[in-house]
Amino acid sequence: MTQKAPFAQIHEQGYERYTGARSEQGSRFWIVAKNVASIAWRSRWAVKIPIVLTALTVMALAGVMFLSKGAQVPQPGSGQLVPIEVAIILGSTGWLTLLATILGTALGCSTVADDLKVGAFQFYFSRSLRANDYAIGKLLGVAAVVGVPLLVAPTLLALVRVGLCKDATELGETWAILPRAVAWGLSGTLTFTLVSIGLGAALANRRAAQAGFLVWYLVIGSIAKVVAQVTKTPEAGLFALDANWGNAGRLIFDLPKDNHMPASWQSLAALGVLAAAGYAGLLWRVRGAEVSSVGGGS
Amino acid sequence: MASAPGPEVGPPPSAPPASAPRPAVVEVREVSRWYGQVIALANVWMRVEGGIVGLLGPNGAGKSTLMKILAGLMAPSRGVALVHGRSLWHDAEARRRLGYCPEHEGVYDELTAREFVTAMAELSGFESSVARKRAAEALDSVGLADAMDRRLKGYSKGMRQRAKLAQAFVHDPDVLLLDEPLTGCDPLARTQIVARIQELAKAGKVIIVSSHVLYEVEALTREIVLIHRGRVLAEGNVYRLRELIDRHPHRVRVECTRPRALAARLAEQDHVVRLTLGEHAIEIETRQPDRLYDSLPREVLELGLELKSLSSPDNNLQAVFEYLTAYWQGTTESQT
Repeated sequence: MTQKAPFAQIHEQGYERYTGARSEQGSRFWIVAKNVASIAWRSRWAVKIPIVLTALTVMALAGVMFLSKGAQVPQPGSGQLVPIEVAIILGSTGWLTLLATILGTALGCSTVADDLKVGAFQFYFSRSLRANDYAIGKLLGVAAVVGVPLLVAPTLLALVRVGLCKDATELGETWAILPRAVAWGLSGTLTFTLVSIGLGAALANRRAAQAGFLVWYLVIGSIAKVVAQVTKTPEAGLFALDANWGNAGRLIFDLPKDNHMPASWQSLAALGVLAAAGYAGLLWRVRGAEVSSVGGGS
Repeated sequence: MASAPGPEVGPPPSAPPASAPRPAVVEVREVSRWYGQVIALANVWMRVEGGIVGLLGPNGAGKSTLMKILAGLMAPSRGVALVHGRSLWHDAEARRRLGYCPEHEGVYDELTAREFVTAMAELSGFESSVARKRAAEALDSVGLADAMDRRLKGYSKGMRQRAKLAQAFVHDPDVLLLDEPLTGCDPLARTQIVARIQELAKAGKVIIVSSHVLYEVEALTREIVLIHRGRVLAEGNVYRLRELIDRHPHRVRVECTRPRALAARLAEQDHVVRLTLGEHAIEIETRQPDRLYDSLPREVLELGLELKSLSSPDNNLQAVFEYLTAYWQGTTESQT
């Protein structure tokens, strides 16, 4: 070719090379996460409504907690008397998981599936971004939303209870509820996030993943719980996401298990397996797309 | 640029050039890529040392595949593609010097153009405030200053193309890969994008622009790589390429008064192989266009003709493209 520019020469035509700071490559996942949360909040009522409902739920339950402080109530499934605050937190499992399922369906199932569909991977991976940063960023972004009912709500309720303590003695007896609520919330957030994202990534189709996740939660989970109760085969309950999370909560809050459910450690293990499967689905799809053709056709 | 074959040869060579004149900014060595049984690229060699290079070819020629391999989005099945001496495949750090504007949409409809380009700048390592400032400048430079705070879902195709172009250079890359950047643009958007690409080239960026629309590339550069059915048919300056195609006489059309008189004079010249006479024009076919261009003014002056126009209908990309693809078609058919 004629008159080629020498290697890497920058011509003097008013062009000024950027010489400022650049962030560490390992921190780029925050940008992906921020993007997910930002898009989620402005785009879908399926995200806004559950979050608002979570806030209302926390306010209502905090009011109940304030009014009935010090009471003890029998725990369903075992009949043991437990402090009202623990009963409130664990008793909200069904409602909070329903809200989390809606969030997971709206956001988790679609976040990677939509990127695959529209070819957004091209924008990510033509930059100095690694596949792991993308995966972690997506997980954090979805977790920040799904964690509102599953982590933020129980943590706030635990904080309210700790805040209601009159003296140091009561605080000493009560404070453990806070780390337990956080641990329980984290286990639920991780599972619901990873399962919904992993399903969307593995199927590479938002609608199929959303249908699958909802059917699993609403139909298969409900049937599993009924089967476990009617046939007295507690292991059937391992197929129910919400039941596993509630049962794991009993272990974390040091309560006896529900008679109709499997051992709490089994439920906790089931959550771990599901979370691992979700993460495997995500990584499989991201690495697969990276190796073949990262979205957008040939 | 290239180690490509001349148009007379047809398929690319099976070996690299004996000596590379200068270090290449972009270098493709023996790259092949296949999808199952389908060969998208076959033994492609290419060198780009600077400026704007047009990657030309019909739909399905393998342009986007080559672009993706260069961008590190796809691994070649064989061979190696290097940018500044490094393969971008699995090298996230090296991709910092690259800007890529994909052919397909892939943008987030819910974001504004400013948010989208800012996020892309942040992903390239810019602090949030710097990224936001650079995004605004980049969008301004492609004519989206007034629309940058509108959501992308309300953008026309041309506006989305410009937003994609802005994200490609917002992080100050050295090399820009623009895959069909003018697709779907209206004339105004086309003009703005062409102007911006030329500015970037003047600023020292190395730019590879792919397109299947010849006049789009012609508006940007005369340096081309012609790709067809996964193979590089030709590369270099389009005029030089035209000269190399000696199977096809060069056509020159002259509009003037008394074309018959001019035809009589030109018929005496041995390089002229054919004359087609019209009412007010004459079309000359020659194997030595330089000699024709030397003699034409003299003949016109001596005959006292009024020259209205002089054009070369086949001295453009379209003609070069058609001749080369037709030649390649003929070669492969005769081989089979």
